[in-house]
Amino acid sequence: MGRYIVRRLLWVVVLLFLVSLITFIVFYAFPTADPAQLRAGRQPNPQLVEQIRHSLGLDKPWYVQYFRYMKALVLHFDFGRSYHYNVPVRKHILDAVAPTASLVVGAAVLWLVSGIAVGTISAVRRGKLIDRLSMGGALVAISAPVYWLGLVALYLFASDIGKVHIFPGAGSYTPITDDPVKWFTSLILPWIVLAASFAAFYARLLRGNLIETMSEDYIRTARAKGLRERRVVLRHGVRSAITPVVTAAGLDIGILLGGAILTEKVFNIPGVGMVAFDSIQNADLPIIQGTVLLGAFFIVIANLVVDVLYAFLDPRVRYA
Amino acid sequence: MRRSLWSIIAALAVLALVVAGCGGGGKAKKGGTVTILDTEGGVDSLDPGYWYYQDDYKSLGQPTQRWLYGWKPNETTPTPDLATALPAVSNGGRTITVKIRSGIRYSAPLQTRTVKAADIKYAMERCFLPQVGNGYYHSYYGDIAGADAFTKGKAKQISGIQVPDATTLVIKTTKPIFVLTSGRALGMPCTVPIPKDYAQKYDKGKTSTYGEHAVFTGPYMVQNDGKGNITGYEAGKTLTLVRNPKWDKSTDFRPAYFDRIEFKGGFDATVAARKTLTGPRMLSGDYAAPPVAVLKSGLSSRKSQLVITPSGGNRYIGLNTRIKPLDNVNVRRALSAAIDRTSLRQTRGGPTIGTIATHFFPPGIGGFEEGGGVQGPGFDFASSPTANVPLAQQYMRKAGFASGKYAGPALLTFADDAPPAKETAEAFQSQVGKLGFKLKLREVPHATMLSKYCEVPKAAVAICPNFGWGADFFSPQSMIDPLFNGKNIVPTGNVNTAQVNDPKLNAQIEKAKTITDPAASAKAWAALDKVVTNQSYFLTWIWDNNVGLESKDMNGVPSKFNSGEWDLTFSSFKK
Amino acid sequence: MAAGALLEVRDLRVEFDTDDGVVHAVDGVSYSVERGRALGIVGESGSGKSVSNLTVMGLTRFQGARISGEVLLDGRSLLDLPKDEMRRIRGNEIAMIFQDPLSSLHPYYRVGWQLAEAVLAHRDVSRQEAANRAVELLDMVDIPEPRRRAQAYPHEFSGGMRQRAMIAMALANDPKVLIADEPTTALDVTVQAQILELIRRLQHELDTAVVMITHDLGVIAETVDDVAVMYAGRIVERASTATIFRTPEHPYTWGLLKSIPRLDVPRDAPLVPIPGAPPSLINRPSGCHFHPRCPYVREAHTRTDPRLEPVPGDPGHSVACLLGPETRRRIWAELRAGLEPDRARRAAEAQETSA
Repeated sequence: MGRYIVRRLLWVVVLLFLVSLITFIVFYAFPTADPAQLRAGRQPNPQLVEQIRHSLGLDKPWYVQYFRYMKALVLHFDFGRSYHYNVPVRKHILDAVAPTASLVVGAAVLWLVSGIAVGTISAVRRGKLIDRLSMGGALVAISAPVYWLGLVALYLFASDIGKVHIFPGAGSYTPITDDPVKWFTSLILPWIVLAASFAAFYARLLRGNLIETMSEDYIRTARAKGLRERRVVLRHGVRSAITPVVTAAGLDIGILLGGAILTEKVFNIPGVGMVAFDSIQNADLPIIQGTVLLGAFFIVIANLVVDVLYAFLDPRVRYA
Repeated sequence: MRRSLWSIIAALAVLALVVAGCGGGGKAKKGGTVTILDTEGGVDSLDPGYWYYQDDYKSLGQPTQRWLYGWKPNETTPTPDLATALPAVSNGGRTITVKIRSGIRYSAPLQTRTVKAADIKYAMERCFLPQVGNGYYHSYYGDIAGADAFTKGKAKQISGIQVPDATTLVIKTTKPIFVLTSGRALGMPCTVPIPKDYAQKYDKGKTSTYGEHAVFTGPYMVQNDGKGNITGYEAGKTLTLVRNPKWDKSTDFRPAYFDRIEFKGGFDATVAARKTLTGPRMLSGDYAAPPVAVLKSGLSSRKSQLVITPSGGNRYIGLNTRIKPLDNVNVRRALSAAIDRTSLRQTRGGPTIGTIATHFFPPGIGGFEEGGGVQGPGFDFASSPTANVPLAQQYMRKAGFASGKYAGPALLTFADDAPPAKETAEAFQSQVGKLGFKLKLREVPHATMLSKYCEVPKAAVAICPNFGWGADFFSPQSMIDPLFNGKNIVPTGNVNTAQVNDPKLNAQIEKAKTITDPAASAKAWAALDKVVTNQSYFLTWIWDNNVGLESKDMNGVPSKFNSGEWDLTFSSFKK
Repeated sequence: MAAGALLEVRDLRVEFDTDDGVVHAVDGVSYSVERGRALGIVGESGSGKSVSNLTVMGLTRFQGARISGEVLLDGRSLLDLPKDEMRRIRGNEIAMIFQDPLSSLHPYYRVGWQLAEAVLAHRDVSRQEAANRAVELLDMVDIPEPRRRAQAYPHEFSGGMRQRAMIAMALANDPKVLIADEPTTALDVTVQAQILELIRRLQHELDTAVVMITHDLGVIAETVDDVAVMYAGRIVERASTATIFRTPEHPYTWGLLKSIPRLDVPRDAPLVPIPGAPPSLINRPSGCHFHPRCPYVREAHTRTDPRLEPVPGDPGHSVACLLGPETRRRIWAELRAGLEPDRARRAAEAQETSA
């Protein structure tokens, strides 16, 4: 297993190189806007724009720019400076990781617990009213656009603009080190909003898997042993059905760590998603590059973690 | 005698009260912290040399720095700030002499120093450096003697900016420039003093990092550690201003009521607008008007919290005269007659948003009245607030389209993809459809629209419906020269989107720039306003209002100079 | 109640509702088993052999079955018991093992753990004691190095060892009755013999009553004392093992016997399969359910339903067939001599008319 992990980690490095190269080429070949002109501000004269273009190194061919970028990255772990804000990219993005992580991990806990609970109950009471209600509700939750859901949540429950003043409004995020209570309360609505569609999806996923699992032979054996039905469902049924759910969750968390853009935007949580969104609006290539690499890193690592986790969940799986 | 003495005392008492009121002691409460919610990342830079957008002026330019000349909220002429008086003009308008106040201190770590004329010279010179990225140095300071040599790297400083002593600044130009002799172009942030020996090390390199180490002369400063490092700024997220202990109120016309000003960026526009209205302690942020839905509900239930000010700017639909059939003036006039300005205004929120335009110049600009005022010069294609399709068809016939309609290929049009600009563009599309015009309408993000398409002549975009323009310091020159002077057509960042290059027009513009007599100057620019309105290069549809939102406990004061945005040095809590 | 009968099934009927109609899976089945004896239940898939035994275990309740009749364990009626009490009996007094031991054991848990779980479900002992018992059980079924093996996962066992483990798990709580549903079908022939031997040995050592369900007559011959042949949800013939092989009296049983390759007939003698396919349990054939496939069918058989009746001269042997006993014996004699069913039939008919 150790050798397997080492091999996978080497692939991570290769993949990240590839991602950085492709991102670079794409944004070079199809820039959304002209960073030199944007940096030059309002009504610049062309001389100035060209000077800025030169000083940012944008007048060089793409492979030269890419080489310079990678050199700084590999030798000094330096991701360059933002075109728009002129701040170091690394700090700008890394500062945003903690808020995104707070949002994503909390939402993940919420959606896993609720999704698994609802999915199990629905599977066990298949066809009954509670099953129909849960699955119907799940469909609605999956279909509701996250942004809309966030706005509705704010308009109903935010302490500043809502109808009922329960939770802190948008923009109240504080780091856990500053004020743990405020950190927690400001994340409750975002957690619910982000978790909603995932919980629904996972409930349906688990329900389907569990229904299938419960028709397996070893479930019959478990019952034949005279075990309590609850034990059969949870220890024998859910234990099997949960494996794809856990692996899916790992991948979803990996993707979201690269930035839950919509949720962050509507609640104004200063995470990687906001940074990414902002940078695209401003055609701020160094930051775009940084957020893409970070996102790719999380996804690739999540994949690795999920594969390793799979071996622990299912003893039949062995890696050479 | 007694009677007259009493009346004198009474008069003085009344005068004192009035003065006190004017000083703002009436409604304003000193102290408190105000929060301003922005939708975008907030300010672009902490470097005074970079500031050119309204948001930079509001958030940093006006509160944290003193300029050579400042702008009181309600006035359209500059007020001496670091200068002691308006410039003394000599040598046929080619020499400008400004005396500087002594004893104005910098904030830590330069707290022992005071502002010298040399600091202002350096500040103006560094505005020419590419690593600072200033956008207006060329238009306003390009005619200073020695500027050219400095730009080309042949000189290490601008010879035409001289400092005979610590409190005197002399500027020599190659020809008389009205915006300098009137002091207006010196009422810009390039005149924010920056000591050369302190800043030079930060100005080396590809991009200047002076902003992160700036020193302050205004009533507020960005929170810092006192050792030259800014701590109160997280790019794109927050900006915190605190009182500047070195600022001397007795030397300044600003009252500076707030104790602390906090900016938070990244909000959804509707959420931010609603939060501001429900408050407390908030003023609206970086949007000239709130989203249409919030505006409507605000008008019905919270009218007193809306502060409506003419922005001194207009909005127009830009037509590219290099693309057929827009090269034909009658076609352009037909389009002007065909659009429904009232319904375009409705897409942005209705009458609160502005006044229907009848000519290019908006109110408040020198030359506005001379150009016809609110009624306008009376061109029939530009006088109707609603569509006049029969008139439009008449002009089409004059242009050679016998049917009165256009039957040619679709015209490439780039619009902003965010509301309400998106809705405006789409309304325009359906309006001109009545004249047979088909548009190849592409909606893209704002930055893309500007820097990749509309401001790039090579992209050959026919129509850009989401444009507008505001004057710098009420100057008619800044309304006409950048937009219609042929020499200002540039390959990127081109705002002469009509690509007008008429030698006669160019000459007329150049001449007007040199007229230093205010009355004559106003008339000359009004004539140009008439020309461009008649040529219908742009379809001007509204003179914009700025609609600011304030919480119930706030008394927000808008700045006319800054397009109606808040002047945070005059705004305060209500008593 | 039959003397000494430990498990007694009387007139058991099990029906399921499906979208296509009501499935009559078990249609009036009765049998009994005594302590220390083995009963074999033979039939094709769909004969009802598995469903009837699952019902005895109470497992069909999970599928929404409609059950009527009686099932008595040591005199106690099981069908009336509430769910929780039935659960206490299941895996404790009656145990069942299934066909495919790989899919019947949970892939994620160690074998020892699964055995211990069976113990802990019914005995108030500590985890350690249950684990020790698990090792003991593995030893009892001849699994070498049982303590080490207990830590292995099911997929790490061979097929034969897995089935041994399943048997061990079933015997964990010393059940009175062991039901084995096709225990060797999924195994190699050599391993089959070992498993059957093991079951037989345990049956005698522990005095357990065994119900062996199979479609394989070879298994029947080796291991059981009595046989019940099921077809279309009913028992069509019941007798001791020796009798079933020597003097079967039901056409279906004849068909089963004739379709086994034998060493004591000429090599080129053809195998005689039973024509046709098992009937639908929703719409069963009228009259005798076997009539569409019976080579000896007569017109009356399509209208009348035969009942299970003892054969004259042998009370332990019952048959449900409308042919007279004489005719049946005659046909069997012909079949045993090597005649094909058709000719055997005509020979019997000829004899009838001449009698």
